[in-house]
Amino acid sequence: MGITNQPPDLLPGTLDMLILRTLGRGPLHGYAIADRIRLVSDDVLVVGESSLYPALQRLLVNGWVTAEWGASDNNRRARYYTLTAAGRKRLTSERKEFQRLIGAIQQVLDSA
Amino acid sequence: MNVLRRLWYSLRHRNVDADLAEEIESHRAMAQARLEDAGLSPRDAAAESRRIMGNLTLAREDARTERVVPWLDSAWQDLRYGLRSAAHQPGFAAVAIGTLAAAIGLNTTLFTIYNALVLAPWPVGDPAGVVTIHNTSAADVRSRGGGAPGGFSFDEADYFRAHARTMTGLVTVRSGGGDLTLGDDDTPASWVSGNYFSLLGVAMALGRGFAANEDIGAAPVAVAVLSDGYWTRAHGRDPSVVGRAVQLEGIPFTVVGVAAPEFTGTTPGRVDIWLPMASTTLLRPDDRWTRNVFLKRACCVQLAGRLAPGVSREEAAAELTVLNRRYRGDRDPGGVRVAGTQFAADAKTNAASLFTPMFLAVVLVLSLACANVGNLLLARATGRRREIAVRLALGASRGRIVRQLLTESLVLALAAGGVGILIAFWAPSRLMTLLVPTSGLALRPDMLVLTFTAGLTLLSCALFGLLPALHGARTGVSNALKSGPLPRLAGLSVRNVLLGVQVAIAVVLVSAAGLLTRAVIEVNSRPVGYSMRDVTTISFTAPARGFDASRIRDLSLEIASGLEPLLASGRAALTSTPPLASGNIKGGYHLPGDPSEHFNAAYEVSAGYFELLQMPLLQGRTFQAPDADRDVIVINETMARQHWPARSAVGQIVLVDQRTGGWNRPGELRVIGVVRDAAMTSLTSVEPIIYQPLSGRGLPQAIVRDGTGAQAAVTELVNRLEPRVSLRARPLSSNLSPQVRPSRVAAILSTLLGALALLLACVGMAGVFAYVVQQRTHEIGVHVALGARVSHIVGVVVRSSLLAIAGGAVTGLVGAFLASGLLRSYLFGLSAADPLAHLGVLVVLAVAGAAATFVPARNAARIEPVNALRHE
Repeated sequence: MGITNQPPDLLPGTLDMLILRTLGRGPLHGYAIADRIRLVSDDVLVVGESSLYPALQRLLVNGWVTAEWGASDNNRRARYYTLTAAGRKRLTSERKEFQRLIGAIQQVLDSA
Repeated sequence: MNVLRRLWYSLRHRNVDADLAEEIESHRAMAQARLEDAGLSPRDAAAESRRIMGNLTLAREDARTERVVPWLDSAWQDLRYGLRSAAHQPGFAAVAIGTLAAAIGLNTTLFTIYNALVLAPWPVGDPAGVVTIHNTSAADVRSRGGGAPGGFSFDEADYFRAHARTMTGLVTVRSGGGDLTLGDDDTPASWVSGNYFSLLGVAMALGRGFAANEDIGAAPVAVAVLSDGYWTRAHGRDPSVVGRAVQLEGIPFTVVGVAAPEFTGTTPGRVDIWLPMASTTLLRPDDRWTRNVFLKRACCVQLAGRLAPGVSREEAAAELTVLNRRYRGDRDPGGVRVAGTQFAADAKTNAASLFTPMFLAVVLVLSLACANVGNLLLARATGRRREIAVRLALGASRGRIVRQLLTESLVLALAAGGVGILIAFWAPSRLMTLLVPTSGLALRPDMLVLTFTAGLTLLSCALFGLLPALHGARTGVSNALKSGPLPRLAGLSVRNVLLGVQVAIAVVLVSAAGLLTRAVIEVNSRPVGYSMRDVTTISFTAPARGFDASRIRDLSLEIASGLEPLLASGRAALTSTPPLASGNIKGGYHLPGDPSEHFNAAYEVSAGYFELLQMPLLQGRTFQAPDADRDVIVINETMARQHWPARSAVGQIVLVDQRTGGWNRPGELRVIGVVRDAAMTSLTSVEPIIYQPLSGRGLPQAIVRDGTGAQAAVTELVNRLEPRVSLRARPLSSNLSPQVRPSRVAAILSTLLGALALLLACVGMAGVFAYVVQQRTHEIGVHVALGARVSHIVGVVVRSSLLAIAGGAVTGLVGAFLASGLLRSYLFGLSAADPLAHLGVLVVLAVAGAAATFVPARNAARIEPVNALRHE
């Protein structure tokens, strides 16, 4: 299982957005978030812990997620992150902005 | 919001960090479990999981960066490092902190005194609304018949009270009034109106202030309020003192309250006890003030009041001026000034001229201390070049390094500021007692002083810390790992420039000290125009009660006639006011045919006065016994020159008007003699003076020549005539001290400051020399190996800074000359360009410089050439 740690370079805001979206379905702990992102993107987006935890901290500081200690499936102590209402709002606005950016890049690439 | 959250996290730093570590660890364990499921052995899975997690330390660090307030975090780190490094070098820290603390303490002490005198209003409730009201009418200012200049009569005060809408109330205060005998001591007392405590809003520690019905002239009540200081001294802070009676000159007064400690009265002088105005009829029924000012409602008492809400001082002044004019009718236009309650607001000496030279001096000392510490830090920075280079190599930005070095300077500055504040709690009251023994000011630092000290601390930190910080951070990495000398700034090394500054400041302060000290020594030997030696003054004090004006007049005449043989022989004389004593009166007069009025000091003297004091007679004759009833005067030569320059003044007439006070009788006064000028009113100025025969208005004072038995004769006569009169004898030269006191105090203070500045400059020079020795060890080793003597080496070391020192000395001398203009009023006419004083300063500086070379020279001599040549 060649799990590499060389993900394509993501813009920092994009990672925040991905995490917020992943938490939209319910609270998860850090490992599960990285795992989910990797699975859903077919192993393209591998989030290293060195980027994951700073991002989670950032989301915490800005009040877009909250965190709580709980027990994981195999009875390990893990910290579960939950999306807040403000986080939901942030996600919507970020998605809009991201669409705009992608659209613009697409336009430039498609121009003659 | 984010900032608050970040602050919250940074406070819970350790917990959050531990949580994160645990979280990451559990994440890694899950990854390991997944790998084991995929088939790896536990050990391999563990290793692989760690590898794929990436740089966990960096992750934790980055996570941390997200949640902390970065500058706060690094500032806290720098602060702790600064404290540690100061603890590691206690000698350096002690010198730096001690130097700065002395300078900051000086500044804060001076500012505390300045604040109490010039800035702080009365310590009452809502002080901004309280104002003092002054009478600017020309006639009242001059008369001084029985009260204070700038005051109003009681009737006028009542008129204001009834009609003024801009003031919610007025209080009257009697200025002076002297000491009362309370038990066995003399206690300074203040007579005030019944609404004094309530209107001003004075905080009371015990009991209450006066009530309005306790100050009615027709029905005086014997109540008193004690000051906190007096209550502590005389009653040991006994809470049961309220309701008890104290004996004031034999009359029992009931204590109704004790003022709070922060209320020390509304005058700069000390007040131990407050009494209602009306009680003066109980205590001093025959006193001139009681009769004239209180009962006959003549001028003057001091007036103060509280502004109505929303009223400005200008509006109050305007209304009071109108009322004042209405009250006086067409007599005299009058004038009213409304001012704040700061003590210096109506002081005779201009606060600015008094404080400016002092502030300049202490600011100079502070600059000197900062230059000193700056040099110390520069020297230390070169020793830390490797540490800084390592920091730079590890990724710190130059700004970060500067911040770190500045924070370390801040640690020193804050410690010094703390010590400085402690000094300011202790020093101002001691200093004030030295300057003005009768002061009652409570001199403790308040919020304004603390703010001032904090600002000063930060400013000095910037002054002494910025340059070394900027310089320290400029080190190139590769340069620092070798060693080399300090780079030069504009030709002269920074080190030498700072040294020059220190020398200049020290020279200025030592010159000032020298000038002031010389002035004080010189004035003591200056001729005053009369013989002060071997002369004693005897003052008589009548008891407060049972002595009315007629008894006093009779007693004066009896004394004068009883002493006639002594007066005639010039062994004793009588006068209203001895030379240089306070309390002389001024009289107004005009010349025939010239309506313009003149005011001169007027002394009452008996026959034999001029002979006793050996004052030369220039024209005419002096007083003799029969002159006591005649309308004659003797004048001094300044007055003769003023009015009759071309002719003889003898036989000339001056016309006096009883209304302007000060004269024994109105009408024409004939000049019968002219005496030489003498220092009667002050040491420095020579005014025109009139001498008139004794009136009987007050008990005169006697002056006698020592060794002639005159003193015993006077004492025996007065005791026989009136045993209730108390006598006090003092040498005449003791009148000199109040005149000389300001300059003497200035000389002492400036000498202390000069000594401190010299010590600091000396330490600074020693520091620089030691540094040079250390830097040039190689070169000195060569010199020693070639056979040079210690003196030669010292010469080499000193020569490196000689230009700076010489430049500093010259600048200092020039500066001292310029600044001496500020000191003119203390110099008694001594010229500031006194070459002897300046030469002395240069000698002192040379001696200090020589002393400063002592320790470095000893170190230089101990250098082993072999070791030195090996030093890279």
